[in-house]
Amino acid sequence: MSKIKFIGKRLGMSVITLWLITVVVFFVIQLPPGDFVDYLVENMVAEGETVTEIEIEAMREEYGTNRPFFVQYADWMKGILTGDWGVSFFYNQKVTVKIGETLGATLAVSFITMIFTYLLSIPIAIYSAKHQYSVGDYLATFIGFIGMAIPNFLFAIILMFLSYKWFGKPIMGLPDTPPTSWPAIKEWIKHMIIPIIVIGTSGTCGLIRSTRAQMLDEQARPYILSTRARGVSEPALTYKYAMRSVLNPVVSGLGGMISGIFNGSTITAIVLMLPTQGPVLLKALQSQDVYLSGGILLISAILVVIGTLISDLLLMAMDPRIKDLEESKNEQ
Amino acid sequence: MKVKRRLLSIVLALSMVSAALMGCGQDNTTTPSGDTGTSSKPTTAVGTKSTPTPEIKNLEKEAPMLAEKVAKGELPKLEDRIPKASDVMVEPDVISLGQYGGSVKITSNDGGRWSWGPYTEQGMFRFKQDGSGEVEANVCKNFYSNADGSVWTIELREGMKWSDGEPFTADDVIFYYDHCSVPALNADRTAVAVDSPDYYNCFTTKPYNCYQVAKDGKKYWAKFDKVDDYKFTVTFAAPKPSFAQEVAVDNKWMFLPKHFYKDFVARKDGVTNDPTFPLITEEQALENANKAFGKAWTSYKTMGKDVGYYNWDYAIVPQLRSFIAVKDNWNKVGETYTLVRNPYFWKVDSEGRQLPYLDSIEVLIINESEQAVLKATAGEIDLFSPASADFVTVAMATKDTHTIYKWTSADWGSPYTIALNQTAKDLDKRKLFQDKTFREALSIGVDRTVLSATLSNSEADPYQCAVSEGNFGYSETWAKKWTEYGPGRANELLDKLTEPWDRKEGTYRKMKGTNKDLEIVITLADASQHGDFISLITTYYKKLGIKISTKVDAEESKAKLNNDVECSIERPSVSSPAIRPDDIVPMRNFKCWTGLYGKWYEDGKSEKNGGIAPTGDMLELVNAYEAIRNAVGPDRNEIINENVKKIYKLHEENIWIIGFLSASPSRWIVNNKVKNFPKTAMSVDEFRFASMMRPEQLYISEQ
Repeated sequence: MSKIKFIGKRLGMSVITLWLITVVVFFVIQLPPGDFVDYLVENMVAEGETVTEIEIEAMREEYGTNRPFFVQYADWMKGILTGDWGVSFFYNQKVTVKIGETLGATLAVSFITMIFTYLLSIPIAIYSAKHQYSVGDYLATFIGFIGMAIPNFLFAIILMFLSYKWFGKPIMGLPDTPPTSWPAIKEWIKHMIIPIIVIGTSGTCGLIRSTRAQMLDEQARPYILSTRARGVSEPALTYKYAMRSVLNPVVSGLGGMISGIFNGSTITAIVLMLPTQGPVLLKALQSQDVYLSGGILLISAILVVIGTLISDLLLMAMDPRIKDLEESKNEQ
Repeated sequence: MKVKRRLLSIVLALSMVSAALMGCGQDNTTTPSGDTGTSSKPTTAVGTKSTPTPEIKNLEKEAPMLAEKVAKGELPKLEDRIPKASDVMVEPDVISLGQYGGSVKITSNDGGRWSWGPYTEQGMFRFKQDGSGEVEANVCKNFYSNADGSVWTIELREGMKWSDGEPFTADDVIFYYDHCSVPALNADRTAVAVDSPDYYNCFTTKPYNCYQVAKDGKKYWAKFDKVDDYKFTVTFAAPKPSFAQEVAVDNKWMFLPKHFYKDFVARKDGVTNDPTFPLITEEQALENANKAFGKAWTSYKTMGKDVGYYNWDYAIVPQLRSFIAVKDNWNKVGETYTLVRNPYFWKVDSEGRQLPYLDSIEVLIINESEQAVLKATAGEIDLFSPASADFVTVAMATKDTHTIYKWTSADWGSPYTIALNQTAKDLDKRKLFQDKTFREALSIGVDRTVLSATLSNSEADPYQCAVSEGNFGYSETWAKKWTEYGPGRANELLDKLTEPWDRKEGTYRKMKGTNKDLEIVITLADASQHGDFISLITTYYKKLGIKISTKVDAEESKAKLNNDVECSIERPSVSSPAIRPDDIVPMRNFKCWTGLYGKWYEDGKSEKNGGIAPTGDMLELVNAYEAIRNAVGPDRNEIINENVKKIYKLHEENIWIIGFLSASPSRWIVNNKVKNFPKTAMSVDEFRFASMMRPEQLYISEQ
């Protein structure tokens, strides 16, 4: 019963959080001065068109940008709840269709990066913790700090430039042809190297640091000591017992990770010219395309909330201490 | 983003240095070509490489890929695709005959319809390649007018087809004009008032001046009449001698495929019995368009502008263009937008072989200019027109594979200018700005050699905002007027215009009769623009007791509409005021320097919306422009010439916009395998930029 109550409570909180996020998102994207009509007028004037105040007002009426904030918000929310996410002013396309267009590439880049991050960081972290202050540990620590310290976009620029210097061709963007044949797959792999390294490195390094620290903590715990004293083998100690605690930070980072997959590292994607969600979001924000930017940010927020919910539930399943804590709170 | 740009520029600078070092090494071992910029002033030795005429092996009449389709029965044979022999357009060779095949790579940003558009566009009339400013027939076969220029006859090419194989006839032009291009009209062909219940705007939402004439204070729209399938007339209520030229600037695409657009245009004339153009409501038209174009337009008006005006954005729209799109991915960064040869293209070369020579033009969609520069530096772009700051980097890195061509610029000097609003809101400032001696003080108060050293590596010369050397209207006195640095005289001039100033550090002059600091606020659209220039002039003007401040307004153009900008950095770019007067005659409402005078003209010479009727020399500009527009009869060219000169003279006398440095030429860095690239042309909007290279005649040869 308490488990259901716990889940129910979390769900309730998620809904309230989401609602608050929609208000903030809609408010924040309208913060910059002007609206989409101003963007249009600016472009029309730049193209040498004659624009009068009457026409500008008519355009505001048409796009509905002259309505009060809460009327626009209520309209948007009504649409969201009924499945109509509105039409992107800039692309004249349904927001959901526009988001769907880049979803494939975004997910591909993000998933591969995520797999890269986990596959690389956890073994390195365990090795570092088990061989604290060894040459290998120092090397991993050094690379880890460098990776965390270099901003992604700068790293991307440097790698792009090096690819030009070494291979005579700057590698950026993704190939036009889908990876259906062997040469095309090879081309894709070639183009994925830089994004994976760039987007993956900071995550990998962060994960190495936190996993290593957690592992070191666990190593020193009395239960490990006593288990070791009872003659349990080192691999079993590491992977069966300590590992459960070590996975805690990994799981609790799921919320951010899931929304990161959807956003596809905005700035890095722009620097590397990746056809992912990031550049679309930037364009939407620049042109004050309220519904498109609102839609993307909302999905992103939903994913953070869902990710957090999942990680809460997973943590509860993995770590009985959390359940006990919740229960003891209820008993009081 | 700013940090990113700075870092990338550092990386690029490093690459430049290393490329320079590598370049030096190579020069010792290979024969220097001597045609690219290896000196600090690469412009001094450019564009001299002669393009050898490669031997064209087989003079097939059409591209092999099209011949293959004809053989398979997928495409009609050549004679059935192009106009009949007497009507087909024969293009003189730009340099030599070409061979079929290959493609060129260019770049554009994701909103770049205006940058890749000129590579393929075909207007009814076009400006000659020689830069004379004369127009010639292009889509049409011939055009002529009656004696006073009030009735124009236009003949089309028999057998000419849209890119989907449907015939192109006078119906397509008249359909475009009557149903897409004119707003609601009264019986006398004046426009219905905007606030009238009968009002509607044109389908493409852009009414053009080229179709209207003024008579007795009213503007009348022309009437188009079909003579036969290949001939139509355009009748004006008063003489319109510059019709063809105005169309070539304003609305060269004066046609749309009726068979395609009939489903998206709601006709307003109430005719119900026309099977070629059935009467549908705006809602039906919108629904049809959303279905056909896969979009979600919510208003007929927006849809009309998108599919009518920006029609080349959509691959499904039949075109008369030389190259046509395959899919609509022009707004997807990182993708390649491919334009392939139009199988029905209606031009042939001097041997009667169908153009274009190239199979395709590949447009790499890149938003960040640094990425485009990196690609160009790696030699991946075949036709690249770099910004001045990037020129040396790209030119040096590609010196073995690319050639530099220098086109003349229509710019009036460098972009570094000060345009003072002659109708500034602050009346004290307005009075000052209108004073010629004040403008002289501002002009001579800046040391242009320092400006040039800082802003252009001393490449640019001290220059006024004036016609560039080599172009019609150039005058050395004008170009050099008020360009000599004279802070003493500047202070003397200012002393007469302001309250006495004790020249104490940190203080500014007070405007005459006021306690207000003499401050000039420059409005910028983007804070990152012109930073170096502004800090330099701020220092110089501080010495004169003038305070310079900046105001960043992303909607700078809109602020100009409201007359909220007192000073702006705007530089005219004009081939001739007879062709495009907007930048140098007060006739538009979005130029800072003309302010409310432009609004007055834009509002039909009326002060009712806040415009101000110009006087003196400003009025003279308008009069000269109108004399050009209304010139008829045998002396027409003379009248035009005389008034163009008059407009230039008025600018020379008044220096309404203060310029500082000479214009940089428009440079192209072109892959050596791309042939037929013209050595020189004028790069300007009215001549349609890249269209001047005649892209359909470019071809690829490894020789």
